[in-house]
Amino acid sequence: MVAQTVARSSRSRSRPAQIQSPLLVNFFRPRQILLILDNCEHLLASCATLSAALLRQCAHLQILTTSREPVGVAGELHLARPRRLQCQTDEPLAAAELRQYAAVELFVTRVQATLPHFATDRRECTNRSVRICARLDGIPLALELAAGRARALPLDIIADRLTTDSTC
Amino acid sequence: MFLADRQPTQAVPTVDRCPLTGRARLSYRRAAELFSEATKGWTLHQLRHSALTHSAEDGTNTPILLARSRHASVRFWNAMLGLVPKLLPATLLNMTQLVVVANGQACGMGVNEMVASEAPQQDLPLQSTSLIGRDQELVELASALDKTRLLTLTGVGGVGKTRLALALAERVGGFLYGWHLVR
Repeated sequence: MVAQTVARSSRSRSRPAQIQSPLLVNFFRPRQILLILDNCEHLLASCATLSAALLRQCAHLQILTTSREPVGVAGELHLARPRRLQCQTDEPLAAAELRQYAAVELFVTRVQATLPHFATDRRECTNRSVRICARLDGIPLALELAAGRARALPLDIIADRLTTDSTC
Repeated sequence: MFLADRQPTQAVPTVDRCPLTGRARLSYRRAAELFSEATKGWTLHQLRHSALTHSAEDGTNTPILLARSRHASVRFWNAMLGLVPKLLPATLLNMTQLVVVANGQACGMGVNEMVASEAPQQDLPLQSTSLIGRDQELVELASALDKTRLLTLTGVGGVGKTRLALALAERVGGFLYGWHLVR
């Protein structure tokens, strides 16, 4: 793994500042490239410095970052996207309406991947899926994890646990 | 598709049945075993490779082939291996993921190709499942990316920022060179 390779390189450890911009600038300057910096919140200041330096010197470079907070560089367009997936909270859904709600669609699709016989036309299955999606606020990662449990646990138990135990 | 010999039980869903013969689809593992036996050691990966070879013969260009195979260019890995420690700033090494998309032809190499020197991870679980309910946001973000050079997606953990960024990159860049986890 490269991470280990580079970790072994004492140079990059001891003098991180000196390895930074010039080589990357030289690399990016002639190229039309979209650079993605993922999970910037861990290193917000470094990401900001690096982005600003690269954007200033590389005319064709675009940077897309993901972060829990804006990176805070001039010219940054920050959008609160992706949104939480839409989920129905109160009214029970008919099977036909199910796919209108992205959260439910995600959950059901993932459950069906592990349980091919999971029946969306059965009212209790639908209702339980909707309950779970609402409890999880339409957060895709949480929905994926809950769907992963569906193989081992019945949906009503998953839903009940989500209701009673906030750490679940 | 590889099919089982026997007629399937009721339990097998219709999507896993051959519409012509009614027989069930073999599991990937079993298919791999049989294929290996029959071909004396080939793997299904090589079968896929062969499809790529044919499509290369038909004139498909390199970026499309790379995108299809999900391999970054192998050629560069060794050549670039020596440069990796020098080129990567500590900042980037600490990022969870670093992705580079280049528009147009593979005229040089992506930073990721330098990064992907030893054990490239082309099969992140991110890409193995379908993206659901993000069509509209992808359109919106692609147009936002026309207007700015630095676009930041913010949101709480688990809401899908990384996933959306990758999908967006794939959409606007035409294809991904590849990526590598450098946690």
